[in-house]
Amino acid sequence: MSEIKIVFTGSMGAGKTTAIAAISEIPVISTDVRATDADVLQRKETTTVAMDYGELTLEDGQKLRLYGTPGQQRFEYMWKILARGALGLVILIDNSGSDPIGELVRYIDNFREFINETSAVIGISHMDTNPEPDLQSYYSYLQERGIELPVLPVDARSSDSVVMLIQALLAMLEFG
Amino acid sequence: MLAPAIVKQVEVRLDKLLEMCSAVDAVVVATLDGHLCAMKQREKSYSLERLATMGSTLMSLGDTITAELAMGTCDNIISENRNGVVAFMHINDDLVLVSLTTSKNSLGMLLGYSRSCAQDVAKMV
Amino acid sequence: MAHFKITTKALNKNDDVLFKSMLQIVNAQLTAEWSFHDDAEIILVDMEEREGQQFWQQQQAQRVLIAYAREKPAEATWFLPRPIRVKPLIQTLNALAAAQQFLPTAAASSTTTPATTPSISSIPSTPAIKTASPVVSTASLSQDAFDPEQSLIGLLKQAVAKQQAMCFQIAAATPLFFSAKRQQCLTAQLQLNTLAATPTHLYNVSQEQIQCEPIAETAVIKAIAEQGGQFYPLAAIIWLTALSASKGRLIVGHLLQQPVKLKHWPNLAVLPHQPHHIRLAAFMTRNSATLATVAEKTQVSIAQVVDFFNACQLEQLVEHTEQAALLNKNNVSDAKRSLFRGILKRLLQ
Ligand SMILES: Nc1nc2c(ncn2[C@@H]2O[C@H](COP(=O)(O)OP(=O)(O)OP(=O)(O)O)[C@@H](O)[C@H]2O)c(=O)[nH]1
Ligand SMILES: [Mg+2]
Repeated sequence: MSEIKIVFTGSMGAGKTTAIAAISEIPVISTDVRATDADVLQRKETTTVAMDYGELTLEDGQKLRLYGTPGQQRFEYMWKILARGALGLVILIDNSGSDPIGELVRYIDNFREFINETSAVIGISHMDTNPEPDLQSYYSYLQERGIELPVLPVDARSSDSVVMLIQALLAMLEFG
Repeated sequence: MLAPAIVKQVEVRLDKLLEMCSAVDAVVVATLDGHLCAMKQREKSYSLERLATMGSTLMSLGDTITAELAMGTCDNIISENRNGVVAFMHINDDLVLVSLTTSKNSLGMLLGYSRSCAQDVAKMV
Repeated sequence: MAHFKITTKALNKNDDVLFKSMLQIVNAQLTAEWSFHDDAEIILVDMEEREGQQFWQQQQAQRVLIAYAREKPAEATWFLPRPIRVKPLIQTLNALAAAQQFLPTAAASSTTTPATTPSISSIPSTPAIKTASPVVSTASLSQDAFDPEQSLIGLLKQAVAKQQAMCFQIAAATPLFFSAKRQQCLTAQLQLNTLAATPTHLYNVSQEQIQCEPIAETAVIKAIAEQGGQFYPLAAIIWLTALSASKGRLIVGHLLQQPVKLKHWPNLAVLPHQPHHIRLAAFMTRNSATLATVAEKTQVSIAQVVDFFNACQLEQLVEHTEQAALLNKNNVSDAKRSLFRGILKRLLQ
């Protein structure tokens, strides 16, 4: 059986670190450092360079491990390392980015094999401030590529919202 | 990121490191968030951009580990391998120095010369 | 008067005896006649016992399960709090009876369900596509169909067409306002779980029972400022009404044996939902199947599948397909399934 772990990946600033912090029961182990890229600094001060790590203890004492990847492309080598053996993938996309649909495609392509073997759910963040592109645009794009994954709005700061995504992921793993 | 004039100065210092210590094969200065600032190598044999980014990943993991153990900031991380040694060290809070040698027996030299190079670079930036 | 049979599963001896005697005590206060029968299709399941949980997970479409526990499990539609008390028992059984009367199932005795009335409950619990019975094929055309126009949805549509702000209400319950200017609805916070446990409310009654008054736009804002509440997109109210008012009846103009698929997930960040809706969305976006197959594969009751389908239909998410096409999903081991349940349980704590 796979390790009990779920991996959060997706675009820079989408809220991977925030989402894990929102639901983890231990203080998140984070490797965020001060960012130097102009496009990062426009939005936030720090960026993840290795990983985020959080935990939830299940009733039988087993741990559900939550890993977050760095979002920036240059840390791509961490993506595969972290995803190895995971139950499934949560892909977060920042709707306020310059090409959010392009970003999604990049992550789906990168993790294609992993997704085929397990499953994934896509959360679109910052829709409160940036409603466009809307969900339909994401679905149209995915349908053209024959991809049937859930796309749901998420606010990474809200634990309910993050829980909803994981619920969808579990349902995809079991029934989808 | 560093101003071009400072990058020049840093590069001169890195050249000096290669000159002073023949065992060092390549050296990189990177930001802690993984951007290459300056590099020098004897032969064009390594992709130093990637080394810069990976150096930042490893250094921040080192910091995370030492913080967890309440041991202060992480000074160096050493990777000893069959065909050489890689050293990662903090220049200051924002910069990392990564140096490497293909000679297995030069760990001490690599560390000593790299540390003094890092101290000099810290004064420049 | 309708007659229902009920039994228990995994209750310890004391609780079992207590339940049987309580059932007799409260019978005079129930809207239907209830009796205890070992082979009944309405079953009170002790969710704090391993045996009960296992039984719950193998739940079959035609059965109606009532969860018995200290806390309401997220996956339960019907719930009786532990320990058994008179008042909650009466409420639960009456609510269940009200819901069952809209949906004559195998759980109700045949006196309330003329054998000739085609109903979705006549689907066998493990239907194969090729053996769907002829009874099933006419079901959607029966008088049992769900007509959204006869529910709150019809009234909302009229309000939208007339561009008129409205107040909708039944009895003394919290009103729902429609603002024509914003094309949104306003009401106190909606809790689908609470609504599901309430026998009658604005979202599950027929139009005639709803008081519907034109009001000024300013009055909408004023009322909400006074009573508290929030804005909901029209789609969320239509969705909620379809889920609540369908009561297991298929929406008009649809055939039960037609394989269907969802174009994509409903926007569950906005649309009120319960955990079983998430399962259904996962299955129905990936597989093309008849609703009976959906119920079987997802272990959700056929009535709930139909409610969800109706809501999706009104959201324009449904795609009709010529043939059923099921993905072969055999790789999920029992160990994994129980792990997923464990994770879900922890997340919803
Ligand atoms: N307005 C708004 N802000 C959000 C939302 N979701 C997350 N945020 C904010 O966006 C920022 C996300 O930052 P991080 O969690 O560091 O993002 P990340 O995905 O870990 O980024 P990298 O590690 O750099 O790839 C935080 O400041 C959050 O508070 C949302 O839905 N709306
Ligand atoms: Mg991060």
